[in-house]
Amino acid sequence: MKRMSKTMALSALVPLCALILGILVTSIFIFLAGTSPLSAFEVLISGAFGTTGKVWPLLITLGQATPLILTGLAAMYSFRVGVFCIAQEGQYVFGAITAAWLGVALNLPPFLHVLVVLAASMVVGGIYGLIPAWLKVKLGVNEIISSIMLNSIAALVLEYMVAFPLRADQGQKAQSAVLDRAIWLPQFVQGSRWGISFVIAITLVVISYLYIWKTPKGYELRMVGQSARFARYGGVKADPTILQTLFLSGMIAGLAGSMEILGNYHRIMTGFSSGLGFDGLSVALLGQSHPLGVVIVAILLAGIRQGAQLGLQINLHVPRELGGVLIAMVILFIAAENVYRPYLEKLYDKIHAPKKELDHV
Amino acid sequence: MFEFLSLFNVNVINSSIRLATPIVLAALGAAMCNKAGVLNLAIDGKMLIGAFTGIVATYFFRNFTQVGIAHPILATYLGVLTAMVVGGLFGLFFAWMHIKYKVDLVILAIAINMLALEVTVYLMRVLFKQAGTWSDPSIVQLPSITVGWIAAIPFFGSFLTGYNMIVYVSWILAVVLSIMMYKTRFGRHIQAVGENIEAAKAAGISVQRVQYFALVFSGVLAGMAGSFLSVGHLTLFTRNMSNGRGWIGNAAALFGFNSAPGSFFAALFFGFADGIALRLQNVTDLPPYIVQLMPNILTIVILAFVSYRAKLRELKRTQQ
Amino acid sequence: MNKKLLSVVLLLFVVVGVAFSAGASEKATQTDKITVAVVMPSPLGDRSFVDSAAKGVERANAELPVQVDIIETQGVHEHETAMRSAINRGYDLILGVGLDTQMMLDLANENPDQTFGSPSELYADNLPDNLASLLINVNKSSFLAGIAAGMLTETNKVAAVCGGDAPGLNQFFYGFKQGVLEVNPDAEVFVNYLGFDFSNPTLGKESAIALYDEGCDIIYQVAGLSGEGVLAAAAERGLYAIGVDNVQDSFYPGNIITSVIKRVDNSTYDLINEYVNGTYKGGFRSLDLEDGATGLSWDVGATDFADNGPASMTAKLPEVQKTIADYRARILSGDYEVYDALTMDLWDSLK
Repeated sequence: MKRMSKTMALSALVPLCALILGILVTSIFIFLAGTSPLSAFEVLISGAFGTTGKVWPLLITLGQATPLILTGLAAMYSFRVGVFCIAQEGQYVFGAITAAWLGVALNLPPFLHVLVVLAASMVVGGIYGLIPAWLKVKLGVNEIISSIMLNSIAALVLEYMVAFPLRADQGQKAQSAVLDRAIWLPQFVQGSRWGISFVIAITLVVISYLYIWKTPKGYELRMVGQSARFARYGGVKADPTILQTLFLSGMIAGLAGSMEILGNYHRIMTGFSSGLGFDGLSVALLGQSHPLGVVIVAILLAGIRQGAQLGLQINLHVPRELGGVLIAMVILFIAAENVYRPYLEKLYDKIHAPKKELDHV
Repeated sequence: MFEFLSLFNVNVINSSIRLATPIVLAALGAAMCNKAGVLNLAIDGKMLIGAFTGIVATYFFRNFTQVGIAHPILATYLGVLTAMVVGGLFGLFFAWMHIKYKVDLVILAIAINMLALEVTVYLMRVLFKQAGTWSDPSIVQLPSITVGWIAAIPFFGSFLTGYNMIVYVSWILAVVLSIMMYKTRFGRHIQAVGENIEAAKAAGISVQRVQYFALVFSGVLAGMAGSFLSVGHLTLFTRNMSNGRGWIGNAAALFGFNSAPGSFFAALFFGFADGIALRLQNVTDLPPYIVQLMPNILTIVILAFVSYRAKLRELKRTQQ
Repeated sequence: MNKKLLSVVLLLFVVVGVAFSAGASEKATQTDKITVAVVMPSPLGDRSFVDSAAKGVERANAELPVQVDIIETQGVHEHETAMRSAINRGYDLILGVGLDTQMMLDLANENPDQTFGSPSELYADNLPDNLASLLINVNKSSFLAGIAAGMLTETNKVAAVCGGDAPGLNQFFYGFKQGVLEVNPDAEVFVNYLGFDFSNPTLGKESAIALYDEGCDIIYQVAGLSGEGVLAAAAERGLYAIGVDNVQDSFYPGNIITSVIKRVDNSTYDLINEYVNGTYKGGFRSLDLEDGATGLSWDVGATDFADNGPASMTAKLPEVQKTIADYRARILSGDYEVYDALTMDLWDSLK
């Protein structure tokens, strides 16, 4: 019991510590740019989570966080089953391409049209998720490596699709035609991007929690993740579980891309993605591969980006890159947890030492 | 179709070799790391850092009187050297974190790639008040060197020479590494670690030393590749200048079975796909993306093939 | 359980943020001056389009009683958020530089009380009253550059490196092509499109080298930051290029014949100025040679090529400039028509 609570406390302390260290290091950069770190963070936070103005920054942040929650969730599934698949970017892009294509190509009643588009992108994303899984399970190809290739293939296919088949001629950009308004996903507050996609994302988070921790399938998934060989002895076939889980993961990433097109951009163009798939990885890592952690970290990341772009840049004329620096630093300190973990453990023991003696009595 | 064949001329080869050079360097480094059992996904970030330090160091060597480098080309060479040192230091940091503290290299790579992208732009803003592009007229490009007797070789001469130093270094490295891996003791140690880390440890090979070497070495090469972009091919730095070339290097290493000659030719292949893609539109209506897709898809196919064979071998061994 | 602890701590962070926000976010808008936001399509520092608009902002800040903020974006995924946040902050006037037409229209219709403007590249027939668009047509100025190229080429092969195959960019290219063929019907005009990669100078340079290898001696770059590579290739090969958007002649003096300038700085300044003077009016206006919105760098006194170019070419410059002046007069009087890729179907003579 004692040991359990100690690991629990530490797994909460580590991200917190990483956050604090990240903020400290970023403060040095802010200071070098000639601004007080204190006011910079104040502006950053108000630009990210403020509740003033016509459309609250907080709501915009939630809107921005939506695809991150989903790609984070997708990465989480992959990590949980013990496969370090980083193809979320490719799945996300393929989901989006599918949505932009079917959104224009099909002619159905709006509600049905949306459902068909979302379902199709999920299937496409899922299949794209199956590729690295199948290569790993059947042939033993390292999933990180096949993911890298799949991501660059997706990027090239996107460039091809918007420059040729999906191209709507106009202006100086390569982009597809604007989708019919009837199939746009609604937003709760006009202009916030915070809409039905967010609800779907949160619903999926809850379902994922229940699936992974409350169903037999989820139990198998976790067992496989902890050790493929161990799970096999325990009567769980690892391979089908891995395939299923990565299909699921691909579906979620595909859905994220699809909802971004239907709810946000309403068309597709090169550069729409901005590496959201990769950010999904960071979200899952920082969120300790837990659905709740994913949601919190996604909102935090979206907020930092938003606050850096609009708060730091406009209010303080501080380079907006510092938002990215902060995020990168936090990831760095998460990665380096082994360096300072012993100190945290000592600290924990020190605080709890008298109590321990009390237990003995 | 015959129009397509007309693309294969000296100019295309020259241009493809220039496009391939950063990929070659990245691939040689990546292959070494893969051999040593340390997956290095931060090559792209280190390349970006190399591009930035390369041009900034050149600028400082040129313009700070206390340093006093009057010779512009010497300053550029020193800039390249600085980029290599900084790249190597990042590699050392990686190795130290991984070997001493068991830090996950993939997560570390994600952080460093992101950090490189943001910090280079931040520094560009703070140091030079520029956000997207920075260059300075005092910076001189790495000169192209044409070796007379090579140029005189019929047919081959025209595409074997006329590049800057980094291109030649990348070739020499490919050769030296190929020999080193098979003919020297240290090379055989690396091979052994690549085959099976536990067995290598049992045989008394210092796995740590191999891994330190691989990570530092790939960092040095990534730094050199970056400086090729900023002071070798152009004389400017732009945001995200590496543009995913490090990742392509990772792919090329795998395409080439993680061997030095294999990765070298695989990287050239990627370079050729780019070189041909950009001339394709002059002769056909084929979209350039199709050509660029080819090496990517082939890499997956080759990976699948290689892994499948390895798996079969494994099966056989267990059955015996 | 552990995750709950973590979440509580992080949520605290969020709550603190919300508490902070009440005071901080209204600071910038509380000046007496008129406030303007200029949302850029990509980061500053491209030494062409975006920097040109930024120059207009600088001038407005210096000369007018306004507070103009530049909002940089990293790319298309941030455009809408940046615009919306600008609306949210309550700027008096919001300019979107080269942003998507549909998005600008939607924003203007959604926010009828907010005034918008676009200093360049917004193509639409019907604009709401609160959206003013200045479109700078570059086909005629590109035509003039084409004349220069057509007369100065020694190989009878010239080319353009174009960011992508789209009407807005082809307006540059076909104007240029028409100019070349007008004075030099035997010349071949090549084009190399970069697949909408505007930020890859390495690619631009290799594309230019490919064209020089084909025998071209003058290349017109219309490719943003990628175009920097084209200019560098000209200098490396000792051949020639024509710059775009800004006066780029001085980047490699003697290798850059001229630049087709697109005065986004002026149109940005003009929109702000009109708003300050109360003459702002929604709707679409196109600007051209006659408005001084576009032209050649020679018009604004660039002499880098005349001073540094090779004697064989500079000797021809007076004649070139005279021919250009003639055509300019004919174009302005309506006597001569230049093809416009934005509004016309491709002429047979240009195929």
